[in-house]
Amino acid sequence: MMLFLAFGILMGFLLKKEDRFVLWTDRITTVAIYLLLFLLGVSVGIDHEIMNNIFMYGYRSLVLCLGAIAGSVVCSYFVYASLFNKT
Amino acid sequence: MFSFFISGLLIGFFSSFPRLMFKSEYTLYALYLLLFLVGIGIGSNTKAWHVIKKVNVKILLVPLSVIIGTLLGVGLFSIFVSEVTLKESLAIGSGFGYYSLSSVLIAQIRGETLGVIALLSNIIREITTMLMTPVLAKYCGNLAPIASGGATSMDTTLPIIARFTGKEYAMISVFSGIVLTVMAPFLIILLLRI
Repeated sequence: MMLFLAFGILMGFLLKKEDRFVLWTDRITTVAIYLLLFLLGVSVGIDHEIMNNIFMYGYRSLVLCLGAIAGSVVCSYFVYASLFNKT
Repeated sequence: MFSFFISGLLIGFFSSFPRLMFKSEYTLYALYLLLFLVGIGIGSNTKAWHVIKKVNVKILLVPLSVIIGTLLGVGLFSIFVSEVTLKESLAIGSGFGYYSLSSVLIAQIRGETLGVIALLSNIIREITTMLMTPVLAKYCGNLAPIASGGATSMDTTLPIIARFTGKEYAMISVFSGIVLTVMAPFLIILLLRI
């Protein structure tokens, strides 16, 4: 998987002057993401176990998300205090 | 957008699609293609480097602190979510709010269950950032909303962050968001494949 990513980066780097190409890949990327997101939705909708327990998944998501935000905010505070707030 | 997921969800729920269609290699190839395209997007992006040269290399500390903070925070909180392993939790956190790519990627590698959690988790991150920016900016410093937004601070949460932290921070917000958007797929793949 990494290879595709890496190869893409290389191509993007080499072709970054071609404005139309970049714009075009941007659009296709968006389409691809939406398509895959749609497919994910379908496969989740089919899955009865997920659909029946959707709130439990919501709880797990919420907890992890709060952890992520809390951790980021705390860490960013150190950077902020040491670099930015020189008053 | 989220609506694509929801419409897919409804269709899957109410009709009887042949399951085979989705467990095939096609989604994997589609994902390879997507990763390739995302790579192109990353490689052709010159904005980030311009910002580093213009401001200070130290600006990298902002996204770095978000990465470290997110991983530490998610790692810690994963204790309360016993059904998800530590690595999986870290991978979910590594979406940094970038719910579309992270959920699709995680679903492909580890299954839809985790993909859904990743999706919801990162959506919640974006929404929470939008709601809490004023509070975060006031009590936790101007970098806090940028940190909370993660990858979203470059586009979706940028307006509200800029509104409450000021124009000077807007540039940092965009930069941090770009770096995190780039790092997200790498971290996710690294965490789940090794």
